[in-house]
Amino acid sequence: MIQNAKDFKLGAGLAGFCLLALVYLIPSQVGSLTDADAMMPALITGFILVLSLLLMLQALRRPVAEADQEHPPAGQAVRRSTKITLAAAVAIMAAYAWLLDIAGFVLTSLVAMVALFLIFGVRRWLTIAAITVITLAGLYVCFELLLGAPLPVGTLLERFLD
Amino acid sequence: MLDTLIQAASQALTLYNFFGAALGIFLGSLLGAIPGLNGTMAIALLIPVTYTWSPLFSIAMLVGCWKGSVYGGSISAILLNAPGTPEAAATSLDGYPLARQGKAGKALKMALYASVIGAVFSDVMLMVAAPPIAALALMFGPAELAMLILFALVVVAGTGAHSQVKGLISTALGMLLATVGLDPITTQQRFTFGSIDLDAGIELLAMLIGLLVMSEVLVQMEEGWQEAHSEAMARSADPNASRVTWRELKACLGTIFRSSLLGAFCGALPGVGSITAAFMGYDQARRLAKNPEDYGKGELKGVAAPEAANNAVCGAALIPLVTLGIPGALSAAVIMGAFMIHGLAPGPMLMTEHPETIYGLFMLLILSDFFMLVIPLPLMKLGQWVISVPRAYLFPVILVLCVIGAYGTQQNLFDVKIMVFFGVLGYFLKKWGLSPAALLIAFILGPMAEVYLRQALKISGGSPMIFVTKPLALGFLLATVAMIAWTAYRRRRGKGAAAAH
Amino acid sequence: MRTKIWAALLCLALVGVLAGGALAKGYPNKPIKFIINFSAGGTTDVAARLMAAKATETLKQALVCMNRPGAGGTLGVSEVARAKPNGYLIGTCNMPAVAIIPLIREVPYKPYKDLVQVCAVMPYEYALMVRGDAPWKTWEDFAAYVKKNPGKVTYGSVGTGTTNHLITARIGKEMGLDWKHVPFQGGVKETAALLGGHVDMINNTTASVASSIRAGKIRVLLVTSEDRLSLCPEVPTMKEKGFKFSQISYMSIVAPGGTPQAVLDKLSAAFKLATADKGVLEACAKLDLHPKFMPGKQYQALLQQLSAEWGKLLPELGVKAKK
Repeated sequence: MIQNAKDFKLGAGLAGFCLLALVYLIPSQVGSLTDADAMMPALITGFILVLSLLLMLQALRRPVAEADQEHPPAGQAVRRSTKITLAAAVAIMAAYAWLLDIAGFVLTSLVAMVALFLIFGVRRWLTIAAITVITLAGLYVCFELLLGAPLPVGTLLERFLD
Repeated sequence: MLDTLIQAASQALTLYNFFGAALGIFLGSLLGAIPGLNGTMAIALLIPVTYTWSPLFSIAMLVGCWKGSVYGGSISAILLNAPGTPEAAATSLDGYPLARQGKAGKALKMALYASVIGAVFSDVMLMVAAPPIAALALMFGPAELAMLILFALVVVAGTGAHSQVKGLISTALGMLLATVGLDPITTQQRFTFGSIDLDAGIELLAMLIGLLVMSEVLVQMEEGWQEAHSEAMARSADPNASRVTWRELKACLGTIFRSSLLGAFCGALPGVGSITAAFMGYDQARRLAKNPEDYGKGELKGVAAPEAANNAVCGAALIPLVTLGIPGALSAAVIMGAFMIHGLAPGPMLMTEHPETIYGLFMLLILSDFFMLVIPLPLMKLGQWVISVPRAYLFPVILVLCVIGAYGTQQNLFDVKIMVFFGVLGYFLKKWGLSPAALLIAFILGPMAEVYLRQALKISGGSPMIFVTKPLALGFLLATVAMIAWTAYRRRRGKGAAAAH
Repeated sequence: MRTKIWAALLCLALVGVLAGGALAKGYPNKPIKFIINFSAGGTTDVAARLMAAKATETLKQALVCMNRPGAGGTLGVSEVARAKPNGYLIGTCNMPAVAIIPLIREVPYKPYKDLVQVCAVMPYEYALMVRGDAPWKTWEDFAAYVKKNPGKVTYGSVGTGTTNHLITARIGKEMGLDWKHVPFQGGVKETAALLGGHVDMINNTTASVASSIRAGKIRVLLVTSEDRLSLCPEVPTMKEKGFKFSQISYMSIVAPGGTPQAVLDKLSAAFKLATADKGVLEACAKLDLHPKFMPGKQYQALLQQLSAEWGKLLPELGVKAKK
């Protein structure tokens, strides 16, 4: 049977993506497959398709390679709380990136940084406050004052100022 | 000549300029060592500030900043597996395993020595052999460059992946991602999904910060970050673990020299750059080694090779700049602005019109190499202290720095989103055993291969014969074929040997 | 909880400080963001920053320079186009970002509605050049050679759809020349290819290769700008050679469409002073850049005329127009 389920899934996922790219993404976003601009993307996608099929084939026969076992594979020994922490960290970073536009650098970073400390399990408020203030103040001084390169103010604050 | 040299010395060798060079090295290695921030960003941000300073001071500082950051990146690459600069991505492949074995000090020192040797080598090349090297660089037109890049792609393909198929997949994914943006020849939009921000393509630095730094934070979080810091810091009691012995350095000298040569070559060719150089340096060491299987597991030469190569780029990138007015690398292009704002139009007339400034600059360059031997030392100690801080305190700061670093270079908020996207993607790549390093180098080389191939075909009117009739192109084509054959042969022999056991 | 209160207080304090300064009347009463649509260290950047420094003195408010390079200058321009039309965010602009690129591909702004030209400040100077050791001494020599060897000669540009490409292609079309276009990514690689002999001729800005021209490594055959250049006064312009068009592209200052006329006038006056300032001119001359002022209305009309002209010509020159 399938010796390496993880690789098999990866191969299948990639192959699926390549097919989607060849049928839909490239024609709609680049141009017909025979265009000069579409040549390179199409060739590479085809190449990945072949490779991912190869990967699936290998996964059928070869057991998990030794090198792969060094990193704990998904599902094994990863506690649920860790997974939640991970998802929360990603969510905070995504919100951070999208809110910078609106709320500006200082406010967003402040909130994001404190939130990150909290999900990482740090509860020493004084330490949190000290690290946050020093980091942000340092960056603010470097960018705004020393380099004259403005940090994003945020549309919210800009509207408030007008 | 002597008059010029004396005049140059009196102009350049002032305390003020020493301070400039030292400040550059300090700022560069500091910013390079901080994951998320990097020297390219520092140079881009510093340039406008230097417009009002004296030319030698500002150029010495900017070049110092560049050199410092190229070295500084290795500190976080080795200690945290989160390269502070893209150039150090190859360094972490062996540097981090060394640190985990408790040999962080050894790896850091080796990186420093290799960097300084590489930097001195390329500065000497700049001084003694600039005109012939520039002439050589000019011989590389689209056809020659296409074949050179093809060769480079074959050499570095799959670096750092667990298996050959996965290495190739990582490489191809990198090339595919690089096609996002305007087509280099027709300037039609590709995969831009109606967003003007994607017209300019995926910003390299933002992607790198996500792929190499943010993803590593996520991975280490998952691997039980409460314990991670103690493990990485498991210092060996052996004093040899934190220094480089003379014998070890001697054993690496051959590798360092070859890497420096490669780095200088990559630097002198317009548009090839220091990241390519670092990977080429790493892979030449791996491929020529008697023990290629040890690479990626903590081989000291695997630290020395990329560091010598990426630092050898800096001086050499100034060769086409001062002789032809053509910058050899991205940072050199920005530094060209510093020449221009001070009325020093780079090009063939620079040497005849302002010889004392140029010789003065050379002197400061050599001097800054020696500064580089000393200034980062406290930074190393500081770095080793910082990673003993629990990761829970470190990671939020690193993540905020990632955001600032992604924003800083282009001052574009879209790049922050790119960074986060690639942070998550990088996490999954690592989980699946794909290689972010291979993806990254393919992202850089892939579009070059496409552009040069298509340009060469435009020149030849569509005939692929252009790659065979030009001797240099043919040479690299044959080298590529030989490389593939040799790799296949070595693999077969390796399998045979394994079967015999 | 206590941290959150602190955070809120900190933000309030910050808002208060920033808001207080901005409530005063009269333009400009706060720093103006100045978007440079090319990367730091290039000729546009250097010229723009020199002028911005002068305009800062005149306006008594800082012009804060920010580089937004990419996508042929359209990235920076689009940022200006979507800003509020209050004069506190303006930028530099190149001709193709307004008059040509919108014809070739989708851009997120309407060039004459979302943008208004404050004024033009510096004409870019272009020429056709060959290697210093090339056998052709004049434009006629070269043109005759191309005619004799159809399909053999190559010329480089800084990219498809740039003025460098389009003007050269148009010259070829008018004279019936059969030559091959090789688009490079930027002037640096284009110049390297010429010096290495990989293309026969290039169209490039003269300022970026001034040093090579003076050293005799590059020979100028034909000036494609309106007037002769001080760098090579003996070389004739294409107008003198009987062509009815020339390569016109200014670096201009743009503001978001709908910016009040009073604001535009104030900005325009400040940049007019900057382009005539002795210090600015001297610093620019060292780099073979020559600022020259043109009123915004006049330049906008010129752009619209160019737009119409290129709209008709693009298909004939083999450039894929917008889908």
